[in-house]
Amino acid sequence: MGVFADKKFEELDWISQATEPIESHLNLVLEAMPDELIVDFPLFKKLVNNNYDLSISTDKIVQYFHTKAGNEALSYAEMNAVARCFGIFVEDNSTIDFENEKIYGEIKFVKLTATLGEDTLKQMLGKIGIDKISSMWVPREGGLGRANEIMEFLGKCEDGLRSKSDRKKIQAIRVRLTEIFKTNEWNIKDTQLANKVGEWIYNYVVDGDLSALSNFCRLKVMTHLGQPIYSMEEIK
Amino acid sequence: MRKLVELTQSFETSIPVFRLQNDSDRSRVSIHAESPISKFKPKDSEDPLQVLVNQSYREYFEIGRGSFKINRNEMAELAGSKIRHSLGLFIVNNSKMQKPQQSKLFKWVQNDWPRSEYFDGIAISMYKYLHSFCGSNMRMHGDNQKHVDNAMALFEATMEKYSRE
Repeated sequence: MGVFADKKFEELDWISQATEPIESHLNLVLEAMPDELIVDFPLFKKLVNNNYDLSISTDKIVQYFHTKAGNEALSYAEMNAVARCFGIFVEDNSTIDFENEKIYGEIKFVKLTATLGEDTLKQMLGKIGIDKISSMWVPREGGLGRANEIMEFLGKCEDGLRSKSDRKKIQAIRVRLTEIFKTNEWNIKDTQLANKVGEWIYNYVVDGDLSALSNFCRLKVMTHLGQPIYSMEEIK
Repeated sequence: MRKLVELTQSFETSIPVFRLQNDSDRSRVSIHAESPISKFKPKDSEDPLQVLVNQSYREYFEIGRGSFKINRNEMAELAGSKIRHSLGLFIVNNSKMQKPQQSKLFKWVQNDWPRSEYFDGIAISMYKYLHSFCGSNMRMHGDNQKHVDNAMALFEATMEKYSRE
């Protein structure tokens, strides 16, 4: 059962194994952010630095610290989800003086929750992968055949299989994936793994990437094991 | 436009101090560049030309420099454009013609008034003259028909002078 091993699930404590929370790398991003931060003048100016939008927001601050730490860029939805865990509190009558480069009063950036809520994570499952499918195209050389194969594996794509149109096939795959993640039919409990599904489908249909197909198929097999899926060894 | 640029010499910029505005959902804090705490306002004046230039006051906040900036030439241009518009409005509101907008004079004044120091000077003088017997809508007040006729003749003469040159 080596290729179908879920190392992450095996390493979870017994409570987590029992409650099956959704895991996400975004919780690590959140953990790495400061609990509380006073925004001083230099930081304010650095965050604004644009004549058209003279504001700072929770997502600008999250983006700034995340990028400063040298991390891989987050998608808009991910950034937003993390940013919603923060609030900006401004002391009454606070002012900012650009001439003397000072803030009179206080701007505080505060972490309101330590982890992303289960509902938030549920909504994010597979989203990035599904967005990738929306930008998919079907190459002339073997693309249609590969798209049909994917639909056979996904199941419930009869309309897409019957159609000869590229656009309808892509739509069928996207709709089916959306359905799968809406109810989390496959019981995937990690947001990054969930997003990989769409990526693997894209890479196989567009580029004929066999390792992507292998990963997709192995994951599909794991969905029949009756256990939540937290990880899978990916072949590159 | 030199005369108009001179009238902007007393203009300064606002002090770049702003109130911090927090959104109700606490996701954002912003400043409104058009509302600094101490906003510069040009001094009031009785001179219609100065009033027009004052109305053309514009400042821009540059976050990079952390200060406001004004462009005197731009403000003078804006005032100049308002002057030319006013001259056209005078013709429309005081002409005895049924459709003054279709007259050669109106089209010339509105669209083809020459751009040179000499003709800018004439436009400014005409504007001041018109203001001595017209309201803000450039319609004559009281019985000033003599002045209206005089002004129209001056416009015609200016147009003729330009076509001769």
